[in-house]
Amino acid sequence: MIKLRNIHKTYDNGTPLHVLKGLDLDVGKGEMIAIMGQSGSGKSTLLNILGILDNYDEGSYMLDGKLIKNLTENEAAMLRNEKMGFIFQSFNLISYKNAVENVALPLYYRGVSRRQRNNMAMELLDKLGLADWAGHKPNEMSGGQKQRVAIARALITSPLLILADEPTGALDSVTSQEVMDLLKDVNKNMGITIVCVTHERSIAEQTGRVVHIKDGLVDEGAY
Amino acid sequence: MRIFDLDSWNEVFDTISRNKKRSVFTALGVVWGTFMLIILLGVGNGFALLFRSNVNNLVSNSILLYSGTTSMPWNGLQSGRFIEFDKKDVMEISGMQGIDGVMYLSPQKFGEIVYDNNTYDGMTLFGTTERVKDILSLKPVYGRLLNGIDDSRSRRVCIIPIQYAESITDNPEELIGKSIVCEGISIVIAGIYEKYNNTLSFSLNSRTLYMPYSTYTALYGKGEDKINIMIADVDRKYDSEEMEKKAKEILAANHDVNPEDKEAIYSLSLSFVFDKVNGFFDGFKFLVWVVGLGSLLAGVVGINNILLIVVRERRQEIGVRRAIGAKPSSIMGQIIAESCVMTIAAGMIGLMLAIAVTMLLDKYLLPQFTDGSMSYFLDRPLTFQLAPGYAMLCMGIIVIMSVVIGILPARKALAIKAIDALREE
Repeated sequence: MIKLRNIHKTYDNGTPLHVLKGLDLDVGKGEMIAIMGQSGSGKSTLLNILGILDNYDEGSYMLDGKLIKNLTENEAAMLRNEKMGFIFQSFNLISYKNAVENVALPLYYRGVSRRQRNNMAMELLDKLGLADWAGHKPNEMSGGQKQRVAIARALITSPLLILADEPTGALDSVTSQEVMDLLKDVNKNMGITIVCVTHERSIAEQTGRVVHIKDGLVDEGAY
Repeated sequence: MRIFDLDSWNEVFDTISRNKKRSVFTALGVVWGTFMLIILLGVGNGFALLFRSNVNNLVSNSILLYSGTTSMPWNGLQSGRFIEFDKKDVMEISGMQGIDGVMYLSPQKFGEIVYDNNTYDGMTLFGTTERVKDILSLKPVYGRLLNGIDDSRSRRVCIIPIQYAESITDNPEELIGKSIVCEGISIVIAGIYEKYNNTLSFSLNSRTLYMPYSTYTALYGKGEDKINIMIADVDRKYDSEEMEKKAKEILAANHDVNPEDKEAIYSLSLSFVFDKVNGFFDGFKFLVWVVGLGSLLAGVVGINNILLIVVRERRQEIGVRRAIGAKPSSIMGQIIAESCVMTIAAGMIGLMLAIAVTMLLDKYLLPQFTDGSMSYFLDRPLTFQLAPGYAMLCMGIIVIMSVVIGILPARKALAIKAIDALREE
């Protein structure tokens, strides 16, 4: 599913910062992995490159057999919409849209009709136990509910890959576990590959594999 | 942005209505700008139309000649001589190639009239020809105007203005055929007239009576052939300024006046005046467009600024949208649609307000300039309301402006990278 080879990334804001220094990583189809690392280790940069939100300078990134390099904005947007779902620490739901509309949003960009996308979103919210909250806006929901809506939004396009950036970072331990159970369920029953960046060992240990990043490289010796 | 998707428009209206006060105050700039543009254009066009209605085709190519006092000695004659035209001048100028006809006025006589043993003062009396109706734009309200037979037979008849007639009786029609005493001489009222334009306002006090020139000369002019003012119609194929020069040469020769003496014979080419005033209105129109579009632009720039702020506020949302698959064109379309909806809605309100105000101006202000009369020479009635074509042009400009001013915020939105926006979370 994911094949990263010799990935380099340098940020140049006056002083060049070499964040990824030849990173290699393989993630199999249907795998669920956690990426851990110290602050500044390059794990967020890695996630952004995986999500085609950022470019890499050197190396190669193959996603589902396609080389991700020198894509136009439109191509990147289409790939993200078709193949990926994103889950963020602070949910990033659109505040003035209700749960159904938030979940249906990726389908809007895919050109699905309003009725169809709302039906699909409603169905998904029902599966996640949020049917009663479908008409509610994010500020009327708890953190756990918001994250489940965000997961529904990530799932609505039936992606191959879900990228989760600290998905439990803003939740209490009970809700964190509920969210992780949901992600594990999605991974197991839907076969969706999940890459989860976290700094919580208890969360990381629930995935099939933990990849440690240190100084811009996968730390093979860790764990 | 998908135009035929209800959610697209819901989002646009959500964004605008989320901060109602800010949106309303921003839109007010465009409302005011559109209002000003439409009002200025409407009033500007209205006044131009009013002017053109007052200077009809016949008058616009006429030459006005009136006598004065010599300021230069000539042919052994001293300066300071008062010049008076006569019928010989009229005949010679009438005979010029390119002159369609000449209307002339005797020196004016001031006094009072007596009707039914009551005296009415403020009267001004002129002797003139039947052409007075064309040159001074007179139309009969009751009875008739002067004709050629009146002059050839020196009939003791006159025509009086409707305002004067109404000051004499509540039923002006009853005056037709009745006699009035004017400076001790009885004259029959042949007709009551009104002026339908105000350009050549010899009848400044609206109490001006006209009678046949021959009658006037016999009754009030001691038989002396004296003419103060001549108005010659120039054929449109001829240059009226050239004709004016030739006419003055004839008059100068007839009255032993230095052709260079500008005070002995005054003249005015009305086409020259007409062109000048038309030029003024063209300039005025240009100014109106500049001021109106400037006001509109100021309002539109306000919307631009607000959209820039909105984009900044929605930075994270835009980042999320881009992360989940929004193409650049979709983000751009969304911002431009917000700009268009806000600007066009405000423009429509401004347009409707302006239409309402111009309707009120038509109702209450226009009659003060036209005395309720409409020109015979216009293909549409006098109005301060803007022609539909102009209103559509204004709306077209607003639409174009709304798109153009949306581009800058849209480009700002495009410059937001999902990664940067999400990093700020």
